Amino acid sequence: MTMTIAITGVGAVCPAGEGEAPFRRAIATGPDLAMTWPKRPVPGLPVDRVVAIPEAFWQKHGAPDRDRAAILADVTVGAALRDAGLSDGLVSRLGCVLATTTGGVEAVEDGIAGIRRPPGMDEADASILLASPGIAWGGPTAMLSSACSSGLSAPALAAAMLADGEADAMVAGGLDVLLEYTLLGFNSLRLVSDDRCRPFGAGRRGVVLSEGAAAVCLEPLERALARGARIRAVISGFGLGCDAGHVTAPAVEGLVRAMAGALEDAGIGPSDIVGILAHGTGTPTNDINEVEALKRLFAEVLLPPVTSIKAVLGHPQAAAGAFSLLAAVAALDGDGLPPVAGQDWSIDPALGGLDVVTATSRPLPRPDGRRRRHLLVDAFGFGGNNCVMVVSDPPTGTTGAVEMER
Amino acid sequence: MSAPAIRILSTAVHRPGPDGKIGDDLLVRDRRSPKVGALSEKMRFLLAATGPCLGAAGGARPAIGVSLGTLLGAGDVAQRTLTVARQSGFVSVTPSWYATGLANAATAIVASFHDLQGPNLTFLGYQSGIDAIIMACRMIRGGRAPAMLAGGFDWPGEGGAVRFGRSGGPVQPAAGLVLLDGTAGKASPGEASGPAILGWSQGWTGSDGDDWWAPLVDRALAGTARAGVIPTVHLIRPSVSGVVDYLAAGAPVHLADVILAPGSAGAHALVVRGWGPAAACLLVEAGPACGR
Repeated sequence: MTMTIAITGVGAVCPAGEGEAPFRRAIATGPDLAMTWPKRPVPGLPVDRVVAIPEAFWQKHGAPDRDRAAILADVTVGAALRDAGLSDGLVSRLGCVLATTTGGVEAVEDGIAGIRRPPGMDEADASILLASPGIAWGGPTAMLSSACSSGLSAPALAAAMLADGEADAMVAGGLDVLLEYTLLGFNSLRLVSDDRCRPFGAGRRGVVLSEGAAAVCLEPLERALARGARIRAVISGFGLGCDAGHVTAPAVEGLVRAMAGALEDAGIGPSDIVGILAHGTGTPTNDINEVEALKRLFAEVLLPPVTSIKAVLGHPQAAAGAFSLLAAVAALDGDGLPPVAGQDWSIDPALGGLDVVTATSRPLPRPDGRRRRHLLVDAFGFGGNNCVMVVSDPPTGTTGAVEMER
Repeated sequence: MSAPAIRILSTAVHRPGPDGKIGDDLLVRDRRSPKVGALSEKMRFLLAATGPCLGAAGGARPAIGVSLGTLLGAGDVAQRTLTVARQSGFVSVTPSWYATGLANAATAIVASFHDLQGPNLTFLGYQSGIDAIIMACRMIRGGRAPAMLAGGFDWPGEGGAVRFGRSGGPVQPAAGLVLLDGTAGKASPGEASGPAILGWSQGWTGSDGDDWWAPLVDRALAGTARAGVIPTVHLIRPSVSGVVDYLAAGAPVHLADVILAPGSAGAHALVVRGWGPAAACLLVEAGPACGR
């Protein structure tokens, strides 16, 4: 990338709670959060085991009078800005890129379910999710939908806007709420597990659907340093691409292209990567293709440890990549790589000696005493939409604000 | 943002005739894709527009990306899925509906059909056709794709799940597309390189006054190196009485149909705003006609 982009704030709402702390605690300790979808029963559904945000959260924030997706957007965007110290309108060119897989469908579904009248086009327009109360975006805005890669692609595109000089700061992330439509769709594809999600595990049976939102506040590193912002991590590069193949089955070549593109964009090689936040959905097909792609990328060097947070937080679709990005920030912030949670768990031998982080978090080494560590974050979606990002420690000499706070 | 312009190699507008009907002449002949399987009428309609537009790319260029905007996205498939499940039970829900009906599915199927492996982006909202073109420009400018197929596409279907009544005119399906190329900056000084995108802006519009669009145009102009340019301003809004509304395709259709029409010349600012405050502005230099 032509510019180093600093992550100066994060916000999250996940089934473990509202805020960054519950998120970090959950991925480190691995509670089993699965339950039956609490919104309403879906007759005839083979699997309705989900990881859902407690109903109390929705009620606290105004549901059912407000769209759940709008609640997630408001809460998460506001939290990211506050965490960055930008909530008081310090920048005029502040923009926002949010992502959703099923934004706009909530209104349609509620109309069909008789919860409210069928929406007008204005209500089905997902870009209204950008309308956070009290924020008038003076920078670029966009509502992205690239399936389950969305939540990582949105920060990537926001970084591109910053690098292009179009904004002073950007909020970016992904969100999705559990819908009957999603439950029906994933069940029809037979991709859901009636057991715990076991990424890279022997006998893994698929995803456990979930919901949530995560966002980051991004700024050009120099600008963030100049205002004394806390630099949580930096985006060193990203790769975007399309398999141009099957709609649901990932293609190894497409994944490798996105991974290699991210490394090239960051100006580093595979040996610089110290850990991988995998897409790791726990479906037989995703995991074997993702691991094969990683093995090709790391053919000449040791494949670093790999983890996935979906065993805990399930698969929140457009929030998935944003959650993984937050996990990368937490890992660099001292938490280490979170474990793939769960007991009675063994790695699929077909994945060939993969070093999966299990049981407890794995501290991140500093190879050869190097100051900067780089993590690879994967997010892949239906349609062959792939995004891979390199998330790193800030460059040497720029972490003063962070170190003083610790 | 002051950088070389991005060339518009070709355009495509695809829509039904005045009666609103979609005949076989508006659909690509292929009923199946080897990689995707059966193609819906919606996809056959879109693919009938993408092929001719991509023709200007000059042969296989797999690094090309696709960036499309849609307002309705997956609404039609969600409606069908939920209705069928309620009427006939879960067993009647077809597995392919979900994956081929997500909002990004149309963009992805275009990439699969034409083997386009570059960035594959889908944007949502009434203004998203222009959002998609702007992001395509960023991808080219950032060196992430040599060229991008971009624009807007919406397929209202038979309705029911979404009320169209709030729109002032009839709502019809359409695709408005441009093929963007990043080589315009390599043209020799003074060389006529065809129509081009000079700049853009996006953001919140602060008022509903008559000049709500002016800050967007000013910001787009500020990002260009064209001092003193006074563009002709084109405004696109939903629900204009008596005007056919193509939703997210509306602004790209206007771009291709009016701004880049043969004989058009000069600088134009195309500004689109939906029901909310989100808006986008595209600054375009018309000129020697591009391929249609």
